[in-house]
Amino acid sequence: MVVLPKRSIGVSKSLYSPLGLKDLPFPTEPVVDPYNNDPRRNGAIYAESPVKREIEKFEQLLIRPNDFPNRVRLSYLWSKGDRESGRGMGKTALLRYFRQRINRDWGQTEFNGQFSAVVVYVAFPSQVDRRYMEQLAWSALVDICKNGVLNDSRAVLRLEALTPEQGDLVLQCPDGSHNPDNLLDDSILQAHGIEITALDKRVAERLTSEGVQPQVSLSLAQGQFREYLCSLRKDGNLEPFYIPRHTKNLDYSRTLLFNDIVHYLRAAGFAGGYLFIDDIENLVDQMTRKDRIEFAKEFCLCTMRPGYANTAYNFFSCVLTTHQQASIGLAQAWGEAGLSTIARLDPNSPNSVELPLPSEDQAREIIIAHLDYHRTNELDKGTVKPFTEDGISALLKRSQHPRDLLSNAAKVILHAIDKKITDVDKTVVNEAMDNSAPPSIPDFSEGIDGAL
Amino acid sequence: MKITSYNITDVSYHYIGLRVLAGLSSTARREEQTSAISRNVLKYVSDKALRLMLPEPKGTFETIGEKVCQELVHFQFARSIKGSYQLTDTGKHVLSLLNEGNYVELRRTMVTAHLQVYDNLRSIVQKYLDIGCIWLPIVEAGHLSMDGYIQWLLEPTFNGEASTLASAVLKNIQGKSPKKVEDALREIILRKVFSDISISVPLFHALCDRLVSLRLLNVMRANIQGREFAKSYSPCVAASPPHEWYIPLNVSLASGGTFMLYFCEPNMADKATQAELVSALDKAFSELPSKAGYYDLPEVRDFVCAHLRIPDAAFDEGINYLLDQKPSVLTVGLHYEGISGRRKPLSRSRETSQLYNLVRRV
Repeated sequence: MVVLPKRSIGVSKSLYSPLGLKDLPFPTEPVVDPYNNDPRRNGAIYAESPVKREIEKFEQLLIRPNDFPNRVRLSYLWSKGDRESGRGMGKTALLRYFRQRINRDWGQTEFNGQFSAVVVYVAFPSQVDRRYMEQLAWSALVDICKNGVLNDSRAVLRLEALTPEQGDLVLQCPDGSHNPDNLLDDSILQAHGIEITALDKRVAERLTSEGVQPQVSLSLAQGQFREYLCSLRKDGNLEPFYIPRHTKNLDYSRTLLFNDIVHYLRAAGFAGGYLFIDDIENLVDQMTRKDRIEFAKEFCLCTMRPGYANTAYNFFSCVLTTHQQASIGLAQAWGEAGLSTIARLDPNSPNSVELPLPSEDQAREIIIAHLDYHRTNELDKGTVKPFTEDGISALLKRSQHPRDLLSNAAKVILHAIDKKITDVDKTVVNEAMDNSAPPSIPDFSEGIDGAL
Repeated sequence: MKITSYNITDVSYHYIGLRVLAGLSSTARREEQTSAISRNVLKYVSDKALRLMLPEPKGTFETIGEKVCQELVHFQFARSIKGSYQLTDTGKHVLSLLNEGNYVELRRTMVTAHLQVYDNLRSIVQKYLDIGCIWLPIVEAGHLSMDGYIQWLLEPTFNGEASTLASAVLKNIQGKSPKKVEDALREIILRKVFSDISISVPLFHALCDRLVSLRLLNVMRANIQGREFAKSYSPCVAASPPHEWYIPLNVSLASGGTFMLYFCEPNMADKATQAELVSALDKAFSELPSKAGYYDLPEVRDFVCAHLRIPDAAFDEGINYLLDQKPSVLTVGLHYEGISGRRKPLSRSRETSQLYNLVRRV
């Protein structure tokens, strides 16, 4: 007999309401995942003040609203600390913050309405063990399919392919307002006597004349680019990036990203973009020395040297998040490819932004940002409630490392709920932390070199 | 007792062993302890290779945990009780020296333990103290067809006998790869130098690595009229130490005798020692070729260590002290070429760790 599963009906009263919160404000797994829908996990809750200086340096290097063509082409985002403490410092969250800032209106606000720009985010869900540059390009294409830039660009290209009168008619809603979504609604276009096939053909021809390959032009004009990418694979998926014995997608990925997509975005009015390459260690960890040199040279070809539309128009600026260990692995290859002369792979280089460990006050700001996002009472915003002053001090004393801080805060709130406590003071914090001491995995090899 | 294992090439593996035995819970079984040691040794070796831009380690180090534990038992730092290893009081003391950063005392303890326990290792050290150095040839493929090349490589060890020996060797090495030829020559040389003990080429190399990590040996690349050699020598001496930084070590042997040497332990924090290092560096800079004003740091290290007869590790310590001086007397840089296990870059850890293999005088 079939048992029909039940859909959730409405929102039940939050377990966290006694603490003045709509939900658990802190992530139980404090690892940023930009594609997660949970604002605690995807970096949407972001305290700017603790990284004000780093944001300013990032802006100075890469945004440069009045000097956009001279922004740096390659830069690095580091976090202070060694291999262990360098993780969970907020590099991904900072990238997510800039991505959201620029992509919400394609840089209209950021660049004072002068031009548009796009952020493409590249990350690797697991370690990459071959076809490194190709998988990097494929990862970027997957993000492009997800971040909405294809549709919005298609809308503007359609608008430009219509006569001004047709355009006004299509954009206009019954209430007199303008809605750009109408440009992607074929029924509305047809209602105004516009032949869709002919319109797509005109857009495709325009794209081809701009340098996009004919077949790709057509798929972009028809809004079928994702399907085109999937058609390059036997399994018809976009992910995982690499599938053994069938790499047609990867054979074309660099050309698609650094030529076709660049031409497409330029045709749609984008002046440039950013390629955020997160967690480079997932890419370089399994590389041999030879692989690293090959990767660095290919990366340099695609992003710096003449040959691709990307380099001809200086389109993408690349930002790599890295840490000391990965950078040491890449250093020689970077030197051989000539990338070191463009941007030295070193936290002290002018092209580097380095995230410091937050101070106690800055760690407090991070906690407040998460609490504020989940407040039931607006009047409590900016306070540390439900923590008492000695409670928040006890929490901050445990660790100011962002990942540990958020993880500890989640444990404390869960403990308070469990014990039905509404004021989280020092005793509650200490109880929660002592009860949930994680089993540590000791590193017995740490710091032995000094003895030799 | 004789060392037969090739696996433990570095004394740091013993330190990891001590930490694991002390760090795991008292109920941990022997297999748990040995696999934790293997895991941590692999991590240590991989991290080090990555940090120093060296090739990744080839082995899995799976069996090393057991071997480390056995050696700790030989040193009487651990004992095997009811299916697990436990640290002895001496082992706990050595561990506390490590964890408290009392490295000078720690090194002496480890040197003493090694020399006390391992007869073949002690014989090698004794030989170095007696004869000064050993010249092991580095065979270059391009030179193999040169007339008299083999004789040339054997000369530093065999002098007048080299010619006769070379003729005999040539018959056996026909058609062999340069690596095989090199091993064959090294085997002949080791047989001559260590006529009283039997030692294979791989074991000798493994023991040399161990002696380097104990600061009892330096292995440098040396060139005699175009011939390349791995020249090994001990910075320690049997008598009449040439500098005040030598410390007498008297090692009581199980057989009843005493093994005595002067262990080279310069205090690089000392200003007078730093001044000696600077003058040795100046001598190196005046004799070595420079590239665009910089000198190859591994070459400078070889030169200065041979000149002052100090361990390689002490040189690196000294350079780090000189770089800390304000204003520093040296500038360092990095060239991505030529880094290998024998030509290690200088590792400098401050806020972030940095590598350098170029050096010059300010």
